[in-house]
Amino acid sequence: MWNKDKSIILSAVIIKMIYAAIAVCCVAAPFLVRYYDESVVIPRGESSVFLPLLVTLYCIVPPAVTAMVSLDMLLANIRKGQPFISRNVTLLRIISYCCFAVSVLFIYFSFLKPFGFAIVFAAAFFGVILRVVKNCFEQAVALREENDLTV
Amino acid sequence: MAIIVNLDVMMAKRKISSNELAEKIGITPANLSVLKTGKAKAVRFSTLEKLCEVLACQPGDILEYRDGE
Repeated sequence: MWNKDKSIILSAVIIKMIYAAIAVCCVAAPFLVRYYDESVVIPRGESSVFLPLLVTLYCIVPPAVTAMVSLDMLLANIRKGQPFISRNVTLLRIISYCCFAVSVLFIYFSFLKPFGFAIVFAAAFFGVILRVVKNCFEQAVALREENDLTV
Repeated sequence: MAIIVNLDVMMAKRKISSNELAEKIGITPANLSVLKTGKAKAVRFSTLEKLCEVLACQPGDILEYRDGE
């Protein structure tokens, strides 16, 4: 039977898988970008995007890792039964800033390849959604504190 | 906060301990401490009713409004 504990475990497993995917991408990025460049970009007669794409990918690693660590900490707090604490509001704020950072970092690449715009838009969109969720959590923290201090 | 809780004054007048009062009104000593130290953000009418009943007093004897605090 599916329950909230299993759901949290599934989220934790997905986070660990994304950690592994980031690590693999860090090692394999030059090969993957070279493959994309040689098999998709150059055959079309377009100029190589190897360097800008590789630099962009390595630049988004710090915000991606920061977002994943924050997400892991958020999930750990939820597992401890503390979803509505001010620390979680800070973590959500950090994750939203990471999304905005990815969006900004992809702006240059989006001028080279149109699909970059999709990444810029998607990252900014996630950032905005997370900010709204953060605002909800902020209200929830205030309500919980008021409830805790009602005798 | 402008609302002052004079619970400790009433408790001293009635010579009742915190633990005894908490037990009689059915709240935890920790919650009573929150109320006594003025950290509480709200008091339920049911709690206030029991406090008045046990301490044999009026709500005004426990709660006081002071301007500008």
